[in-house]
Amino acid sequence: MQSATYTGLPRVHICFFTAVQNAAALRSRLIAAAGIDGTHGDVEREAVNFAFVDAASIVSHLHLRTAIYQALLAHSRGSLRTKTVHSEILFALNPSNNITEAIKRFGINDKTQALILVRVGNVDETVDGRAAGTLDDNAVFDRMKSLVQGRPINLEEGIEHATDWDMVKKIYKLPQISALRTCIQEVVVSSVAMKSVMS
Amino acid sequence: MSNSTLKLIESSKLIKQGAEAKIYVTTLHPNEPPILLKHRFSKKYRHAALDSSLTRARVAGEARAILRCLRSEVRVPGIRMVDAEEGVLGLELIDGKAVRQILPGGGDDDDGEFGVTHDEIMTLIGTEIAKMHLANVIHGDLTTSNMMLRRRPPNCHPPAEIVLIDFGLTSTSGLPEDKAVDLYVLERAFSSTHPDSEPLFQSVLNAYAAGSGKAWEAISRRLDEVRLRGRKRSMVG
Repeated sequence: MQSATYTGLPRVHICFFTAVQNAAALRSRLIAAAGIDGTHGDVEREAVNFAFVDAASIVSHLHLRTAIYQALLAHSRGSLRTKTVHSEILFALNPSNNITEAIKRFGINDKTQALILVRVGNVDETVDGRAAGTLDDNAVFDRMKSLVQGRPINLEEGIEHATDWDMVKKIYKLPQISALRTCIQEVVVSSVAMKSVMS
Repeated sequence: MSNSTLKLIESSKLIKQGAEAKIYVTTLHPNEPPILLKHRFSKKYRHAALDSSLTRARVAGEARAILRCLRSEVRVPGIRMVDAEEGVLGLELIDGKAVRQILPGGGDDDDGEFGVTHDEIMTLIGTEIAKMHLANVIHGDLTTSNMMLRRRPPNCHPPAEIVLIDFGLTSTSGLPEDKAVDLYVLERAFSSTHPDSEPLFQSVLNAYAAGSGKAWEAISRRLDEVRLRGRKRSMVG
């Protein structure tokens, strides 16, 4: 797992899992958690309080980092377009403003094999959204590992091998025959960085 | 945690200051190269409401022009972060040297460190501008200071490439008139910065002509007109 602090922004934790076995179960657990009432719901929501990113649609470490940074900026400004900073990361990755589409394209799906978990901040938000305590970095990592049945590996290497280039070209409306991967990466990263001033 | 972007700027190194913006170098992400920040600071001589909307529009305009260029595979710095509220644009840091410094009269002595001749540099410039104009991007401030020469990975031919920078005055247009004015501005910049550069600029135009295909005929005709009358159109009659 990688943890990093950005100037004036909360700490960010990222972990890459390969050979993920329980994508379908994780996805249904996420959906179910949203609908549970009371304290039990708060506990369950805190247990899955991460961004679940399907690594197939990520082209580089910088691509993911750029989306996280723009989501953190929106969060600190109070200008989130989605409900949480974690869903905002998926929203920031998608070139359009359609939230459902963003979650479908970049979020976990039943066939996900390479999965990236992102956690913003070290605060346990168990009770009514109020801070119930602070987690250290290792505790965040332990929670990630207890959720995902898969092997945690190095982030940069993981991303490099998981990318589905044809899908990326489709999502970012790049020509199918388009040339160099470095060119595609540059267009993709820049699109994510400038989304807030796109239109 | 009130304003992270201003805190980021405070921790960055100022490398250049202009009338419109300040330029900083900083590191944004772990394990990633440093980036350049262009901060269009607030102008106290403007009304606050007008100032923020102008700043926002200019940051957005610059970012859009760059993305348009990237999509057409014109070599420009990539975008790394945008905070339009603060007027901050984060860009890829280009590790190279301004063409102005390489050509005679521009300051530095040329030591041939990039492994390309002056004439080859001119050809690269013409080709890059032609690509940009084909995407209907009008740079608006083409000078030899706004072009960087960057080394390419080993075993590439040619061993260096031109990267166009500073899209602060950029507009989009498909008119031969606007493209001709763009070239004319560069021609004047060449003749005022680099003595005896007419043959060099001719190489730029030759490469531009080769790169722009059928569009060249109309632009060339316009360029002759623009040379006679100057950059601004006559408003008489």
